[in-house]
Amino acid sequence: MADAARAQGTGENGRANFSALLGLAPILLFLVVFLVGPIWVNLLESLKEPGGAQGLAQYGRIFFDSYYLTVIAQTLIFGFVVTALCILLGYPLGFAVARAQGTAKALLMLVVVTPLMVNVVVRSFGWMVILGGSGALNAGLTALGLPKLELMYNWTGVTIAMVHVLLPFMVLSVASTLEMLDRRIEEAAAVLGAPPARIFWHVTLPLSIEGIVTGGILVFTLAIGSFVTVLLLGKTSTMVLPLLIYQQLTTSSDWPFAAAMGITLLVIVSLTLWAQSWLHPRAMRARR
Amino acid sequence: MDLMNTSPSITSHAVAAGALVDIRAIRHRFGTFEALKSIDIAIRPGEFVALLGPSGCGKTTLLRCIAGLVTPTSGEILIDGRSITRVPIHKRDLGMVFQSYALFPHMTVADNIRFGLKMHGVRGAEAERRIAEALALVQMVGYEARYPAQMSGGQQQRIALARALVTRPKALLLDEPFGALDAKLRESMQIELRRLQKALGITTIFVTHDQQEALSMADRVAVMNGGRIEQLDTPTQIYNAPMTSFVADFIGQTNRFSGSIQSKNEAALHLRLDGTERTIEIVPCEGMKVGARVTVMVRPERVQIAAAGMPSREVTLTGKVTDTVFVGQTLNVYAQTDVGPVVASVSNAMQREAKVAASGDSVTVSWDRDAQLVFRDA
Amino acid sequence: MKAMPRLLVLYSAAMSVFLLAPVLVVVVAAFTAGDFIMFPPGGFSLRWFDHVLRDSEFIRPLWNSVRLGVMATVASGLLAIPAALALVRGAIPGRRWIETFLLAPLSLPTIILAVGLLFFTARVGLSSSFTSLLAGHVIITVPYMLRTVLGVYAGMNREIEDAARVLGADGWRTAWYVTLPMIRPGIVAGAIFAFLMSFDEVAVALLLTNADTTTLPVSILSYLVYNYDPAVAAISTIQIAIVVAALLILERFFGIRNVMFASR
Repeated sequence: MADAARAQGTGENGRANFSALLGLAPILLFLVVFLVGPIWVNLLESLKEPGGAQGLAQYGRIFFDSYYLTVIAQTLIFGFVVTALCILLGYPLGFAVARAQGTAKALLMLVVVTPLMVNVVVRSFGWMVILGGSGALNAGLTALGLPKLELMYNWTGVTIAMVHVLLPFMVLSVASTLEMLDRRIEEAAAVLGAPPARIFWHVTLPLSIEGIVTGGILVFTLAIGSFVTVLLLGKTSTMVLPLLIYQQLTTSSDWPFAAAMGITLLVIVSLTLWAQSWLHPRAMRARR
Repeated sequence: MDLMNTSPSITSHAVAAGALVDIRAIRHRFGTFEALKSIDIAIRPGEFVALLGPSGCGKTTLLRCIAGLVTPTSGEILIDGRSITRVPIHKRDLGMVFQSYALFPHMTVADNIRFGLKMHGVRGAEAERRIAEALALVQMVGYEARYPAQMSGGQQQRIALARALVTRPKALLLDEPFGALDAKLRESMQIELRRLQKALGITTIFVTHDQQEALSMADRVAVMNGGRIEQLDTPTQIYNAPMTSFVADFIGQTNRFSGSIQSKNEAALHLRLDGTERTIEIVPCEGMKVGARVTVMVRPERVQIAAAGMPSREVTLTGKVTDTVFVGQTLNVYAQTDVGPVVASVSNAMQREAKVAASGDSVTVSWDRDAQLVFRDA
Repeated sequence: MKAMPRLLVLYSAAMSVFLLAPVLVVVVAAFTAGDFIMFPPGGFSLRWFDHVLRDSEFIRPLWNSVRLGVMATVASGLLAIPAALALVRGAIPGRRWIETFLLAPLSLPTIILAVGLLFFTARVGLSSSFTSLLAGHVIITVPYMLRTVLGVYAGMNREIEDAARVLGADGWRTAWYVTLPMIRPGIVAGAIFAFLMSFDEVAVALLLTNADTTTLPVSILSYLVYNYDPAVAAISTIQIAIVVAALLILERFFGIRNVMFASR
């Protein structure tokens, strides 16, 4: 009864609880001031044209210049590649974490979570040490008599490092979805005569799509928004949008232009999130 | 537990606890939905009243209004003559037991019971004494240091009861407290609760959807439906003299027939049953006109099954037995008659006296006129 | 319970190496005796730890990061806990939308927030660099706190609070003696996430800090622009040790393993 009331939005007492609004007020206020405010100011800044006018000139500079369009494209491609790799590499690991028991599970969890405990700068630094010209990997290759690999300052190194940074998020997302899966559905399939491979393909995988979608969207938005890893492991040819924004702010101090790029990035992220809410009902349908 | 030897503290408890609970014109709506449509009940000191009804009838809402967890849209609730409708929950001085037990999982049994005392300002040695007393009351002495998660459902419910009673509340409210227990345990808890309640003399309001529970425990039962009280009466009256067709249908089993009045004379009204040419006689009642729609109900234990042609009661039908179902205390005999299906309930004793009909037998199905519960269709 | 396929076990082992590699490499490099990072490491020494611990260039930022992290976490708790209670209990119209809004910063690239805050503080005239830095960090961390507390509180049996009320506790006492202890796992897990996210944060710190308020990631980053020696490895190892120690202590007192898993 009370649940039906809450669903109606009126609460047991038949009307909204005003003291509850007091609990919400501080956080709402804080977010409006320090989240909406900066984004709003960002938007205003991006509409500034040289000479004091207001308009979309800054956006024109971005979208009519092949260099900037290339950077945007590179950013998106980078995001997709990293996401795809994280899904391919992360799903099996997430599966392993979900199905492990006891100490093995605890250990796996620890391994997955450890990278998150370390600063992203330090993690990237770690990859610099491994992938660099005189780094650990090449030292090992040289010792084995194999040729050195050029993995720094190009997309390969950056991608490896980015996948490393974001993999835990995918693994945790997949693992938690799989944990919630009712094992009895799989057992039923087995009783009906399906071999393990088919059970996985036709039962487990479809039912865990939601974990993949959630993890995938998260990884994608984080990948296209990150710049530290690219800054340390790439160079000017591996330019992505966030790094470009940072450059505009620090080197050329062109605030309106940087603002416009920031808004562009924001729009891309928002579209991605909107796509997520569109994908979700489909993921839910797959469960049935 | 032998209540004959209860300590003096329990009886002194009894003197304080019998409050008069007066519910007047309580209405409540959630948004557009009217959960309670004007409830009036006066509960006497020390009385055990059951609120009985199907899901959604408003019984739990009413209980929560009394507790203060819900503020009714209009109406008044008085305890011992003082209105508590504006009094906040924590000042109402009531005790409440929930179906989910609602024990504090992060506290021991002793701390759970101590909580109410702490809130009422009772501390130290006096508090410890009352905790021990409460545990003795529910036969859970020795469990002080346990956590709720370490106990069974029945044990948790007893602790919940002790916790509610330790503050010596004016009244005890229970919201389907035994719903989560298995049948045997439920039965013994019902008996225990009733004994305890009588010994303490505490006014008790008990919500349930289980009619057996309500009828066996309560002094009076309020049968609720759709936010209204259909009947407030003793269990016997509820069963034998239901005032509405809902009550007759909800309580126990019935055979149900509908029809319209065909004719009348001084001795009886003749009711023509729907879908047949048959009429049966019903006792005359005021204001019944020819053409009025009527529902008649007959309890299965008042229905007699006899071999075709044997002597029978006032209202007779002919039929054939379709099924017999043995349910321990009784044998249910299902027959298809000229006015539709009828079920008769034959007690174990009667089964042994005479052979009851078997499937396929032709029988006479009959009952006395005064076994008929007649309801005007509104 | 079928045993895991051999292939999966091997795969997990391989991935574990991949995941731990950079961390291990950094820790190993911290103990280098030589002046440069090279493989194999030239010798075993603690000199870089010594160097880093004396050098305020790193210790000050480390302290700043810890201070900032703690303050951001506390502020997040103060904002998020009442909000979570209100959202679950208050039957507020549009609750879904409000929740989505409050959790939005989770999906926002921090560079966008950083740029916005830069413009915002310039316009509003917020002179104190630390305040704007703290505000930025709270925006980033508060959704983590809100999410875990919401998760735990929404799953709680509502009747327990009802019972406390009927037993004589008013709103405040119910919250203090009953609600808060029961949602503690959510608070602790949220606090851990919040602190780690703040400690890790680069974009906002990079744009909003000055020489005094530099955080550790920023100082490491600027050091790396000109230098490439084991000092970074040493300070990183110290930072890792602090985080691991803190988590172990928390696990001992609060048993956080289960909640950390459930909240993602």
